[in-house]
Amino acid sequence: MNEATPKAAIERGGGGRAAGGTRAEPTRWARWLRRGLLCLVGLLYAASIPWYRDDAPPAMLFGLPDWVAVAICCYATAALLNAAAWLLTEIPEAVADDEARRP
Amino acid sequence: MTLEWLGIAGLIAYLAVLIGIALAARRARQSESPADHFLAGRGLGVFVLFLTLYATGYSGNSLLGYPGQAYRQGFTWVMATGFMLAIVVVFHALAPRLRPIAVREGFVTPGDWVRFRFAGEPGNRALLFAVSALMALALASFLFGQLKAMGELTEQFTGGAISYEWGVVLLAGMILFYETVGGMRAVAWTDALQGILMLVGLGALLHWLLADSGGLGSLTGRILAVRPGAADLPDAREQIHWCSTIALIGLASVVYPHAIQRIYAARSGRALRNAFALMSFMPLATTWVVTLIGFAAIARFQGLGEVEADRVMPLLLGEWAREGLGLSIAAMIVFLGALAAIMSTADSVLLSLGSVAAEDLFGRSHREAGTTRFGKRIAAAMMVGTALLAIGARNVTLWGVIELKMELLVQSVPVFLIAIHWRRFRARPALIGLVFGVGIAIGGAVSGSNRISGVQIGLIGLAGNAAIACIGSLLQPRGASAPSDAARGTQ
Repeated sequence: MNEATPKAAIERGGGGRAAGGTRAEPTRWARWLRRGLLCLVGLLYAASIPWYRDDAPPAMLFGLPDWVAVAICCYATAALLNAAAWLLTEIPEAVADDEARRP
Repeated sequence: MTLEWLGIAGLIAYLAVLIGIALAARRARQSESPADHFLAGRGLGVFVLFLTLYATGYSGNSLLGYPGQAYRQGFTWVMATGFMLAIVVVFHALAPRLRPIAVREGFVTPGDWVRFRFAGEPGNRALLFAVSALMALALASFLFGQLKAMGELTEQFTGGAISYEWGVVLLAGMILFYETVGGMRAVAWTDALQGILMLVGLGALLHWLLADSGGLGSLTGRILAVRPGAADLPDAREQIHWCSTIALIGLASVVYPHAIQRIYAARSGRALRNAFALMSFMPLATTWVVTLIGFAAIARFQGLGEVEADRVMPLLLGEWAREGLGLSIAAMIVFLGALAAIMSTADSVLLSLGSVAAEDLFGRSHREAGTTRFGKRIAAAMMVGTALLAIGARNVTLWGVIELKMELLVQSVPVFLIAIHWRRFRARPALIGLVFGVGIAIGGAVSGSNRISGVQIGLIGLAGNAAIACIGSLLQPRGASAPSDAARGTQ
């Protein structure tokens, strides 16, 4: 392994330089949009569990008990948003030497 | 031609293709180094990477265990789609940070991260050993589940012409062959074929089930006629369990050694990112489909016991195949797809097990070609031992194996997810936390109290584990154990 200080590399891990020295960091709006999408995914997970429902017999929705249909719709939407969040994620090729070394 | 002979013919053709792929992968190898054998020379592009992530992530557990659990549990098993998606969500916290460090430092095993991150700190070697042992144990139990599923499926589909025991032996031998001959390259290429087969097979089976039942609404009606309480809302305890299972699987799966090694093996960060974006849709295309298959089995097979429920997929295939030659061929494709899913996970697990044991448990250097040979020998020994265990312990439910494995593996999460984000996280408190968490998980399993108010005991252990590790790290003076470059050089 290379001679570098782990802790400094970790601090820079998500935002290092791409191979060849090009800056690989996403733009500020892309970072915020990605975080927003991931927050929405979290909210969809909360909505997928039928904690907010009363004990009334379930109605049918898309051929399934409504709480099952709601759960699967939440997961389908979460899958779309998560895919979009991944496409907004920049994964640099490597942390550059100068950024990995302890200051 | 009977279904049994069709099954045997399909199996032989499939195994012949796997041998061809293994030999092609051997010709494509660039060196005998561990990085070439265990990570395919870090050259996996987006298509192969996506298919290998997919085929590896969706295993015998998904293809046999999840329909079985859907059959036992009913509609609340919709949670499975959620927890499989949670894996791809939680990877956001690990992959973008781990990948650049792994490329720069030339990581091969998950233990390389632990070695690098905690270099020079007191307790780092013990922590490396503990994490690696936990991972090896989880991999061995994973392998056990795959071998058991392979045996069940082969016996069912060949009408007993190949028994459960011979199915385990034959397919374990085949995996060992192509993994030893072609390494990660063979595993990834066979995974690509297996992933395509699995998608085609599941799609065909779902189409038949829905067409045969008269649509989803009619299928639900038949389920409710057989099991009237199946649509009832889950009570508070079940809802907590739902939430807890999503957290457990989502967290534990990102520290699967074979998943981490695919982060290292990607050709580029962009390929990895795009593969994960595609993976987001696979829970809907696979987990939801096998869940529906399990629901359909409720209406078709009544009174299956705990263990028999794991056989609902092969039972459905058998019913389907009896409806004519065309459907027999379609059933054979599904059978091969299911078998492919199982074998693709088993091969990845075995490859990872060899590298983790050789480098992290036995301390072999990943720069030496001898490490590759040593890893292969360990993998072979583990395969033989696990195959014997699978033959001897057939009456274990797949979901039971999955839960126990996850509850143990999840204890290594702080060493990856917290350590990669928090600079002050230290080795010794992390080790104490890990031992505490493992103790709680094992204690729960041994005493039979594996849930408290619906929450898996492993998750409770993880909460204690993380609290101990974080508080212990905060109590250490800043920079007291920070590693020096010189210390790292001696690792």
